Amino acid sequence: MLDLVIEASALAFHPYVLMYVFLGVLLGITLGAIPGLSGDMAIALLLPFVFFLEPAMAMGLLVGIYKGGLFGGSIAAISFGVPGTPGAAATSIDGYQAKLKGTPSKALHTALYSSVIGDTTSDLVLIFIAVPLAAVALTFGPIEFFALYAFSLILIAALSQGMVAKGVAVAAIGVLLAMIGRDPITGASRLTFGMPELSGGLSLIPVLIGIFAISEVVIQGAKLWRRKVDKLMDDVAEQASLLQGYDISKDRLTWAEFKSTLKATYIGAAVGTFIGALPGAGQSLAAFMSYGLAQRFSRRSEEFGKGSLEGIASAESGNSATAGSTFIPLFAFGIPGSATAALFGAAFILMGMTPGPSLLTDNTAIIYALFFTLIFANLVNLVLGKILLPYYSRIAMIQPGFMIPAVFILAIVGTYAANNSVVDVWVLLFAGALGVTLRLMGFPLAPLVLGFIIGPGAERALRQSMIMGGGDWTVLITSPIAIGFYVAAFALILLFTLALRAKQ
Amino acid sequence: MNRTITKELLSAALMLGLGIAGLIHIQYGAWRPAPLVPSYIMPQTAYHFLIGGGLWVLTTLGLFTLRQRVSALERPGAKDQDLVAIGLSSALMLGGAVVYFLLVLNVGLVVSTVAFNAVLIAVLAPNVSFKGLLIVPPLVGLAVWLLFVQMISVTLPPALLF
Repeated sequence: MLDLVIEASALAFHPYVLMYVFLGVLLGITLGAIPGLSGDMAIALLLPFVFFLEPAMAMGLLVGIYKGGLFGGSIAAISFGVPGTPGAAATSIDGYQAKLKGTPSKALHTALYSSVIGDTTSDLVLIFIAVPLAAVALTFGPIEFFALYAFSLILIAALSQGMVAKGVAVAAIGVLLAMIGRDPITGASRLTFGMPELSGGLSLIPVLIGIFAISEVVIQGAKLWRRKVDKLMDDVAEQASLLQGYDISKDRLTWAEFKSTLKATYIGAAVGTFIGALPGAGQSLAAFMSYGLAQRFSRRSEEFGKGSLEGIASAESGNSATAGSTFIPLFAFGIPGSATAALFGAAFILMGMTPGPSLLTDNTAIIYALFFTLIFANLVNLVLGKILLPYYSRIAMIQPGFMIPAVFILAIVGTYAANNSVVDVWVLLFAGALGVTLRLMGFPLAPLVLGFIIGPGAERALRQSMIMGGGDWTVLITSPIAIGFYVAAFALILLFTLALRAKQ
Repeated sequence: MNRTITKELLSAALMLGLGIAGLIHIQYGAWRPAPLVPSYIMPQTAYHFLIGGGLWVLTTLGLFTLRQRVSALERPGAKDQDLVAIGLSSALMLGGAVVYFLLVLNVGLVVSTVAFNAVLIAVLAPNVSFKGLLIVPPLVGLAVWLLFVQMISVTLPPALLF
């Protein structure tokens, strides 16, 4: 064990890896702070570069972007009332009010500290839970695995933005996209419609970049064209004038104020960690649930919504506490529970590592190095945040009009460069068009990506189970563990539906 | 007709259309037989879920319309998209990308990147200045050249220009 820790430390604390973590955090905060761009988009864009980096360096870069992006989203939320990422929407409720009250520095520092505390708590839970869960998963057969895949698909479909039917349908579309290519058992081409280029199936990179980045960039491009950004910039200038005569020396977060936010931070950390581990629940839900619970248990609940530091702390801690636990299903079972986890899963696959219980046993040193990197990136986030906080609000002023075309071009060339494949570029544009269409019709996109990634595994488990049962469907409910998964899925959906109704 | 109703009807049509077309393809397409479990079992399951989802959307829409609560179907905080702007943006970006990539293969990576970037900025960026239009596209071209040509040596066919 000691040898393993030494080996993992050597990997994680290699100067190049540390440099990539710093670079990733800076990049993540910058992109997260610009409304419309997000850490997930940056991770998707950088996937082609993963091929050309050592696994520890690539992981350092991606983890840095992810962590930086989580905090970066709160900068625009507090500075301008425009959440940089969907997860920061709850932070903007009190964060922007605090800014209007003339205490933006206190609000930003509270967001930074609670984000780091929530994130670290979640990482520790991941480190101590993923390994034992993976050991349990190694005992699973195809029936249990199919139940687990079905559990994840049902849950992510049901919890994604609360639209069950559309979530289920879009997950099915993801599974269908994964079926394009050769049948793994008979070797026959399926759903290729006579195009031999599709016999190898759709590559992960163009589908992920197309669905996440291209569709978002096209929608943002449309907003730019309608000159909505003009209005935003005018609002920013108007709001900046409100702060004339602002004295930063009177806007320092005191120890007593920080202590007063700790209870809300811990509530956020606990709720975010739990929600993050559930497939599909997401940062936004975690932040709003943390905010609601913190308000209920606060002695100053009447201040929530009026610039309360507790409100900022609970929302930001809840949002960030999903960071570590969202990887628990990925590491233990090979199931990405969120869009970010799907992108990390894709990165593992590109580096030759298969997400799932064998990930830990086959790549122990790398995964332990990743655990160290997760914790180290939080420290980097804290230090960079503390030093650069006064300048971060200006980052959010970078004109998206210049950024979005560059992001679009990087996505196209990056996709081509990953495999030097022209077909991948056409798949990217098709996936982008599909993403735009689905967004316009109000479909959530995370279930599609989950369906695409776990489709082949689910098919393998289903066909193996059916062969074991002689073609009888009832074989799928012969295992107590499998029944447990189905019951748990429906119980969780019921619980969250009732909780959401109560919130509304 | 209300915008939400149109959106929900189109969504249901997409789900049902895809699901039914898929089942017809399974019924009449050339699928290679496999022992015990056919190779279309997973696509077939997905098509059933698509049809189920479509029917669910239609049922919900019908119930909410009868109760005159159609607005409850809209996601909280969702804003109506400007379809004209999205149409223009999609045509310019996705259609432009096809032309851009063909130019990359025939004219050259850096020249095509600078030109395409300049077009996108000129059309999309609000309040773009002539100075910005002159400075940013060459910088993006330089970044693409550094990242893809110098750092990861992307393989492209010989082109007319740089």
